[in-house]
Amino acid sequence: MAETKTHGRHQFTLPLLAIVALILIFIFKPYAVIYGVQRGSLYALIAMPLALTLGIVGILNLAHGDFLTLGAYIAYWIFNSTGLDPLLSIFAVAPLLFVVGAGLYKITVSKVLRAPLLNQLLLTFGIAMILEEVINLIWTSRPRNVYVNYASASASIGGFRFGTYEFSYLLAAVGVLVLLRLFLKHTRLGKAAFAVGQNPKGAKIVGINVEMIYLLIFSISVGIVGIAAGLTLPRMSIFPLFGSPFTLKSFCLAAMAGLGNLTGILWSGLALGIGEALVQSIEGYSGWSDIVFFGVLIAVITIRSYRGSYV
Amino acid sequence: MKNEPPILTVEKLIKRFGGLVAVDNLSFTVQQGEVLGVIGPNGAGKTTLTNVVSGLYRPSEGRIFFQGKDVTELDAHQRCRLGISRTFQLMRPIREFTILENVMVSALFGKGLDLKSAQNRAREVCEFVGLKRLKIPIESATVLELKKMEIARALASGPQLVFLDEVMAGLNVDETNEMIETVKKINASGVTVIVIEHVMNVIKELTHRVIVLDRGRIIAEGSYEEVSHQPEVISAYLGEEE
Amino acid sequence: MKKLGMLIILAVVALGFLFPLYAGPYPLHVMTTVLTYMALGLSWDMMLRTGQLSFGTAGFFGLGSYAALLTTLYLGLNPLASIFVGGVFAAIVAFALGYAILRLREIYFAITTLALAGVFTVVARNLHDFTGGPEGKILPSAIFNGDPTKVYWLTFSVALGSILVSELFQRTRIRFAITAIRNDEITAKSSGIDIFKYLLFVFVITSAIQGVVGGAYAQQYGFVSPESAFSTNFLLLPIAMCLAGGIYSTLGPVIGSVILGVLSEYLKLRFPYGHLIIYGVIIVAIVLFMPHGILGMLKKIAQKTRTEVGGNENEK
Repeated sequence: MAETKTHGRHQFTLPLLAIVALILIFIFKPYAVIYGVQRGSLYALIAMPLALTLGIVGILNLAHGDFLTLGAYIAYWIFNSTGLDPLLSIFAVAPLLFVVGAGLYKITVSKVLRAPLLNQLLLTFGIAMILEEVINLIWTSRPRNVYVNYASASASIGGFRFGTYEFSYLLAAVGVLVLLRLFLKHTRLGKAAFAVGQNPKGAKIVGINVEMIYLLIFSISVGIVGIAAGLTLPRMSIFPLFGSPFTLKSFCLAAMAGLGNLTGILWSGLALGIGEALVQSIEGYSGWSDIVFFGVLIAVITIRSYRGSYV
Repeated sequence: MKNEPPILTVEKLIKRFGGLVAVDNLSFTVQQGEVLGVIGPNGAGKTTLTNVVSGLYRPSEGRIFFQGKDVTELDAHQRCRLGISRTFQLMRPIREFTILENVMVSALFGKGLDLKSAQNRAREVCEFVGLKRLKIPIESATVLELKKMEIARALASGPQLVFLDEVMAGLNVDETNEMIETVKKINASGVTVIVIEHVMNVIKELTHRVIVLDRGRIIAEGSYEEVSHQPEVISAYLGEEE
Repeated sequence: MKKLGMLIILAVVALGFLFPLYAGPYPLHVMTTVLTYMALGLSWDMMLRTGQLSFGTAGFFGLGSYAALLTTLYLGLNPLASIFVGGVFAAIVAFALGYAILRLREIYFAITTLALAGVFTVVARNLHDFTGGPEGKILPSAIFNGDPTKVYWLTFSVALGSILVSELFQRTRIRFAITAIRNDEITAKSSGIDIFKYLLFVFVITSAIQGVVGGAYAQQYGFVSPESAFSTNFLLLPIAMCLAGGIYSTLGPVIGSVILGVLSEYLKLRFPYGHLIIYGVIIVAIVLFMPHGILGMLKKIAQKTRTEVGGNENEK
């Protein structure tokens, strides 16, 4: 049942195909690649913490995307009341969300760790609903945005003009990926967390404080969403349901990459981001772009179920 | 009896889990009306064999014939309806059901009875194996009752062939003797029985023929008296003691 | 005892049926909504009884809505017949999809059903010429010309039908099959149960109910749009109601939908904004403190008093 690396042969063919596809797309639809990379990095940035919680704590947090909304509104509120730049406010928002995550874990999530799956899903489902409605109550459904001049920076290659600010998502995604990998592979705590994800009972026996690891990982995950929140605010309008689509998209990337494969999430994010941008660039069919994620999600899960291993 | 076709024929059966070979090229037949013992040290592949023949696992290679029919590709529920049933070594009752309801399930779906007849059948079978408290929830059942319930469930589907996977394990002497009588009764009613057991007395008492498994292979076959003196068998068991 | 029970049930059904005769227009509207959610909740619970958590309720509701409204719009089908078509359409889609997704379990099944509902929404929003796109489509008139009494009876019949189906599930061999599957699939198949067949059967039936409810809802307003037909309310509220009342039963969703439905109307009047928070809080609170719902709690209290009474008798 333990999944071993059986996809050795595909390890080279797949990236090769991807590069060829990328070049082709870039020739015909350069915009799709640029926008796709930008958007895909954001998806990956948000998906990594979801996968972290799913892989180590074993909880699928259906309120994941709503923490993005919460973080963005907090950053918005800070900006409005103090004028603090949203990017700088990340240093406040991320720790704040870390604390929110920790509190929520203590009060609710920790109580259902051993409960049936139904209860776990419904709990985070309920939390998602509360978050959305509370945000709606405080800030109403009117879209909000902030203006900072650097967010509209652009560059041009050849005849194409495109926004450059969004490349910060890529930077952040790579940064978070590198830090998470360093944490999990090279720190005592991270190694312990990794061990818990592999085998919680075994980890407990060798003396790892499993409860504490769960608390930490859940809180870190929510905290990372805070980074994404501060990053998106300068460029996107926020509204109460702003973050909720990211939950499913994040799960989709986690399922695509396979459990415990954070790097794979970045690649999957880029692939789906470009796929989405590609559909959007087809005139008259841009509305269909959402189907890319849903379709891939259903396909990936179904195909994996036939091969006998899910994530 | 010798000229009758075998009820079960297993041909070159292999079951791998990743790199591990749990059942390694097994071939044997079981005659109608026989009580066959399957013994072997822990990890010899006894339960895996049961799982493959009853349809929970698909074999990696090999074929299984039941009453002359190739059942290799059939699902567990189809094999149950054809007449292969089994008990679980680690008992698996439906926790929300009473003892009687647990037994009813296989009368309903394994034998295809309607609710009323299934209930009657379940009562009969429970009486047959000596279950008295039928309406109790699973939590309040004793180990003996659960073991009997496993057997009753296996019988309620009206099988021709039953696997009894360590039904004596964990029972005291009196309980074991009672169970031995029950298995004899089952066999006397015309059901072919395959007994998987650790307790040698039980094997000696019950079986017409024994096959000994070690690391997924048959290392000896014959009557209990024959196999129990073979050096391979003794060393396989002694090897386990270490 | 049994006769008394039957009498009570008949009385409640009669009271429900005659509701429009003694209730004003506002309570009638509230009850119509409650009955809509009751049917959805029952259908969700029936699927849950097999151990599969579906998040596709709103999806099949929406399919039924569109199928019913569009067949009336384009083919001039009688609205009542179109509601039936809504159910059949949802059932056909569920049958086809079931082959692919009913081998999935746990979060994978739950998430896939949610994603499917997402696909339905995208399709409905983007087939502009056929579905009217994001704006949706309007019929010249609502069913029964919007007569609230007849609309109530329609919804009442749908809910009653769902209750009957649910009871059928509880009183026949179906109960044995799906309870066994929910508890232990290995035991279930070793006892001769064709797991896939039963999952497909329940999935198709419950999707059909959701389709019929959706069709009735769309015809009630003579309107359908992606936002109204696939609204997450039709997913969340039935779940909250089932949890509140108690899952794995007919009575639980019925009690839950009446209590929560009436409560939420009251809250809506008191707090025009944010009353949905209460649903979230209820879901969270029940999961944390009362996982067996109101019904489970009542049973527990009843059991406790019974054993206490029994204990006293023993002492004497």
